[in-house]
Amino acid sequence: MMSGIAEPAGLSATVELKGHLIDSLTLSKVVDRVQQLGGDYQLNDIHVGSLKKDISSINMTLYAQDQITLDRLLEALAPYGAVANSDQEASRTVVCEQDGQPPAMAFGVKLRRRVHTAQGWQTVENGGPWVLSLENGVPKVKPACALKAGDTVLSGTSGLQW
Amino acid sequence: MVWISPVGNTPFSAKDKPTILMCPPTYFTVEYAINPWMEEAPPCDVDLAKRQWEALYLAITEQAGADVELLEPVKGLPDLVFTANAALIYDQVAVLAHYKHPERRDEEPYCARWFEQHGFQVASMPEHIFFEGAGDALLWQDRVFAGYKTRTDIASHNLLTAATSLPVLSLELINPRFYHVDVCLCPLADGHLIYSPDAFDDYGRAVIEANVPQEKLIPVSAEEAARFACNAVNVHDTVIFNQGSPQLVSDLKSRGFNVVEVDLSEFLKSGGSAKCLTLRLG
Repeated sequence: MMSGIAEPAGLSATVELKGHLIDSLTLSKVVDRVQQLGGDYQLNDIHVGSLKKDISSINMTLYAQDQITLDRLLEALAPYGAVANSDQEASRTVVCEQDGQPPAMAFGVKLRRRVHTAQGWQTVENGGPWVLSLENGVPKVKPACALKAGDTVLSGTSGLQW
Repeated sequence: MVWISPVGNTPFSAKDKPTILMCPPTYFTVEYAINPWMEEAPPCDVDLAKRQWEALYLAITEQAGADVELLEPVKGLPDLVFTANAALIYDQVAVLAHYKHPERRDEEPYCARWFEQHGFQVASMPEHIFFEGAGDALLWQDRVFAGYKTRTDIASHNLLTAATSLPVLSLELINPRFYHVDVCLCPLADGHLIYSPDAFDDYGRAVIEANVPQEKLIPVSAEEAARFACNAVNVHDTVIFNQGSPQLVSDLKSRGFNVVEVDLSEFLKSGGSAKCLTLRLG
């Protein structure tokens, strides 16, 4: 089932949701959010629990016109339990000498904290770009400006959960 | 979900009187800020907090007629006093909290040991899924109203169903001041339910209204909800909550409830009130 709001674009990610999705109106909320954020979706598989205590599960593909919108969709839907359905490892990109900045697919991460000092509470925020890097197999978040040639960064949406 | 211990032999659910877990506020203070109430908190009067806690204890034991079990306080764990967050209790199962904020995580093993030693079958969340106990999961008849997003992850709700075999109705919490569902919703005896409509989005309100008969729903104004009117302890027909919510007092009395108001101002500075200070064990 397509939402009919937009033509599916080239970028997509498949997510799964599990829970009392119907009784809690979580599914309604998720599809509304997809449309509000300018994306589209296709419900691939729905299993509705037959008893009140049974949970339901849904497999859906999200479509977006660009990577930023797709990231935004995945970030917005994560609190509702939409997790990327992926057995794949996260995609890797090695930073080249001439890049000078993160590759186009670099993953932005916003860091926001409130810090209590002698001056009281202050909010500090860094809108990025931050990237996910992989160092000796260990994923890390690092500022894009600290990247150097030969570093491995993670890109795309597979193998990541928001 | 990890099951840690077998079923023990102290069935609180089989006792004649309801049993409530409380923790004396020996080390209670506002040491850090993990909710908007704490961020704005003036200094806490710890002696006054102790007197207020004792008044709540007396209201529960003498006016409401419940038994109270005491959890030994621990220095350095100021929020241990909020026992509601330690676990969701259903029958003899304790689904343990896994706190979002590191400041509270040292409470987890301490409370786990207490539940094990008191005969509960203990279940815990995986490391990456946060769940804040009966602060975010409230039994109502044959189901659970559970909050998510601010502190608890919605993924924990499936594990609650696995542990209790109860359906879980997931309610998104949209106001950071109502960071747990138990500060904006409270199931009462006889199918009644207090809630603050402003704490939920349209979907959440629709879920509540679809599950609770209109005549049993008791909406609370934003003003009274901000005084933690929804954070109430209900034992039989007695409802205990922070003082200063005359409309709710009137609404409850008109439905036949006995109302006990207790001054819990020092705990409000930490973002908690009557219900947060208690955990129903059986």
